[in-house]
Amino acid sequence: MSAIDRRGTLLFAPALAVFAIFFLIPVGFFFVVSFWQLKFYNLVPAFSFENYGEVYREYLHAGVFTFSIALTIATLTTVFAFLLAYLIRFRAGRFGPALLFVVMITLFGGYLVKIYAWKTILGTQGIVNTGLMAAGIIDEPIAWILYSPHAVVLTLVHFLLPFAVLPIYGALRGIADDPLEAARDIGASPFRVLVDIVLPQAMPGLIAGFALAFLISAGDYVTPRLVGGTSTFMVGNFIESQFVNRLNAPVGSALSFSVLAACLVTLAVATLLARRLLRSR
Amino acid sequence: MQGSPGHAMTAPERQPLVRLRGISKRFGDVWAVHPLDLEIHEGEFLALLGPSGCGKTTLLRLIGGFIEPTDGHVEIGGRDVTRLGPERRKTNMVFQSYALFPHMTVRQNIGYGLRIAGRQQSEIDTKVNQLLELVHLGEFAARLPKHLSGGQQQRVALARALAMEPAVLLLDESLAALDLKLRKAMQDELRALHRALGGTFVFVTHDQSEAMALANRIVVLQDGRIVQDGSPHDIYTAPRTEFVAGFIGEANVFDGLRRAGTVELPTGARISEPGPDGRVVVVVRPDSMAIASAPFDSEVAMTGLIEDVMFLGTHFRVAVRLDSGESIFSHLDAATPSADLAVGKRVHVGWRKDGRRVVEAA
Repeated sequence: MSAIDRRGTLLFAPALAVFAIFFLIPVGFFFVVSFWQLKFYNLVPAFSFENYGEVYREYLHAGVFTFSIALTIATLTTVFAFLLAYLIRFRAGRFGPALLFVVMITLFGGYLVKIYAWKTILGTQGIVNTGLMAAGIIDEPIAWILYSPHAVVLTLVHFLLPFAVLPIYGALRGIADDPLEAARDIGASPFRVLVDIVLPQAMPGLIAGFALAFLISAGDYVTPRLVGGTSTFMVGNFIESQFVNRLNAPVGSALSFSVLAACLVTLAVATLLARRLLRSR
Repeated sequence: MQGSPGHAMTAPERQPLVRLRGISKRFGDVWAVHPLDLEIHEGEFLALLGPSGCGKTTLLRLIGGFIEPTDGHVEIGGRDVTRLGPERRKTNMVFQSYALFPHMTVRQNIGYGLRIAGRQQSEIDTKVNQLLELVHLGEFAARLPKHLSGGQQQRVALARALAMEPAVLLLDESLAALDLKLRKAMQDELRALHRALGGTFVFVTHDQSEAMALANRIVVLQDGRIVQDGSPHDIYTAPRTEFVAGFIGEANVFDGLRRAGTVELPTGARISEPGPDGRVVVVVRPDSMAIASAPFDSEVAMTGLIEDVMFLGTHFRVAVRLDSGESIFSHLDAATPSADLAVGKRVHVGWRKDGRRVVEAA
């Protein structure tokens, strides 16, 4: 190992230590716990797949629902973020940086602040309902605008948008202008340029944005509780409930790792599909 | 008259392949190209030559359809294409930066235009194979552009444009990024391609030697205007302005004043050249500037001291300080006895009447 390599390892050490102590060790612990049993609220070491069986029996339905919502959110977020990043990179000209700055500024608004903002907008006394009533389109407030899966999707797409814009914009910024002109020159329509030249090169950013949005929404339990209403329970809510209300760490852990595994598989499949779709011939 | 189908048959002279009529381009307050007319004929290898900022690239991009003119019309093959984008013109460009698609292999890059055009895969393969052979890149077909050298990328860009069988091939400073040796090799390849394929090439360059080496017609641009248009030989031997004389090849330039058909030079020499009174410039190419130990038959008779002698293989480059103070230089045959060329030696300097040009002062 050369001197530079050694110094590099040294620089890496603090981050590695934090990562190991506060992430790897706890995660490893809960992975082990997911095979343990709970007897009279006491953890009993064991090696049993019973917890995973329970997860499969009790929570498969919630899991499928959660993933369909998370996929919807991730897809919408990625599409909107791509449009916004594309606008900033290719269409906004000198206003691009200003627009990017505005996107960044929305990151300063906290997570809960945004959720409550949407509660205010969508609630029975919110702008949407009062507006529609004032316009005479409806007679009484529509309750299901808030407290529904739609509200969860809306809130999370709004919250996640800047997070997805960043990696996608980064990828688009790496795309040179000349090859786009060259593609036009040899007969490609603007749409073909987008599909054949821009999207394949933006792929790493699109995957990063999609993964970020998907993972955050699949694991979220605050948004569904605050704007999802009584019928929208996502897997995160059940994990929270297992740990906090039932004090059942083994089932909570098993549920967590099932979700984690399912997330990884989903992302791998999504990445493969996207790559195949945009492969150059 | 444009657009009528019978026009080409009734036209007595050959119709130009590209015709720019009153074309101009303004960016904000700056005129990149002043209104100008230009006709390009089938089979020409035309150089748009000028210093940076002279509008040559803008002119090329107007032909290619990458920008819309502020005013005027572009016709290609008798059809008005002014408002059509590059994908709808029979022109193809080789970009200065090569502009290859980084995520596609060499083969995919070259075949992309044909694929867009909806050709059969077998037809694309055949065509791409031919082009790979033409630009000597057969063994690199499966590589990505980033794994190629600059010269190889250049040839991929060329093959990609040629795949479309353009009516006009546009080259935007395409060789500028290559080192000297590679540039010479690519120049030879381009000439060979033009001979082999025929077709019409238009290229932009700021390098006068490249323009001379490649083109059979040179259009010299200055500040968005055409200052001279002719064969390389014409432009070299008969520059119309001081700018052209200075830009194309080396030149000795004397400021002069013309009165009643006689031009007086600062050296005191007088030559007769009819024309309007006023400031003029006398241009003498170094190969027309004669130096001798004894007086000789010359339009002007001047003397000076040899200041410097450089042997350049094919010729000597001799610098002489004239008695009047000006410095001139001359190219002398490599066979000149070196005794005649001692530094500090007093020599007679002059030129034959057909060896100089009197042009308007800038």
